[in-house]
Amino acid sequence: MKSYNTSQLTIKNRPAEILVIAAWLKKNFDENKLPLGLLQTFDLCANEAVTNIISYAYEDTAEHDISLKLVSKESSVSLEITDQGKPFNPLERAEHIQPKNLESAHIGGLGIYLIRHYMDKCCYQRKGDTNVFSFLLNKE
Amino acid sequence: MKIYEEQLDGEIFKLNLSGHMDITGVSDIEEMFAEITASDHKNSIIVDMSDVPYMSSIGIRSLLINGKAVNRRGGKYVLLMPQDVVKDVLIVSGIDQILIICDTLEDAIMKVTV
Repeated sequence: MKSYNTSQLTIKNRPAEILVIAAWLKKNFDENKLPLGLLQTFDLCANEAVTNIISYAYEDTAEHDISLKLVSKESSVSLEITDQGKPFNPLERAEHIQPKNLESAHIGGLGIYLIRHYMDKCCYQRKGDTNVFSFLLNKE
Repeated sequence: MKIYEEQLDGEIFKLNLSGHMDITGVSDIEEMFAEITASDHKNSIIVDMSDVPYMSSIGIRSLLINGKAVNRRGGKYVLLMPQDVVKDVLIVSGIDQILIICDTLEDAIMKVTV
């Protein structure tokens, strides 16, 4: 008996594609009978990671593929995101510093912090000319 | 996203946001949002978040940029009734420590008029 479900999606590096990801995640989470809270967390983290790729990974304005692979296991759910942009290890970013007041609040860099906060495990690898960023959340 | 400006008594401006506040949503409203918060006479601003079911870090960035614009000229800027999932993102980011978040309109009105 199969112990996990896998689903894959390829999108272009365009902001409108974020909606495609949201619909794909919802369909898969519904099919796997996963709770709404888990879907909301993955939706946010996928949105943050893909927004970074769309905004910073490519110097040109051409269309590029971004691939997503969702794996739902008995005890965990994980998402792997692959792009062919310039090397970027999100886990090497400086830690987010909680702002002390509105004027000094740093604008930007928060997305990676949110992913690291909400997920149990994050992993980055540079494989050939691709960035592979994955994150996992245990169900319990 | 949509943004709808409503003027309340006492020169208080309530900005009603609706929709997903992420990269696409923010791009829909950022021009009008900035225009309103840059208006010199609009110094009491309530940002009604009750119809925003989702917010990413780009949404936080937008709230901060506009909050700073009002704050710099001594105005008051508060967030009203964010949904639980959005409020959690605000708390995790530490934004609840630097922007006032109100649970009721009465409280928000009081906070922007003191």
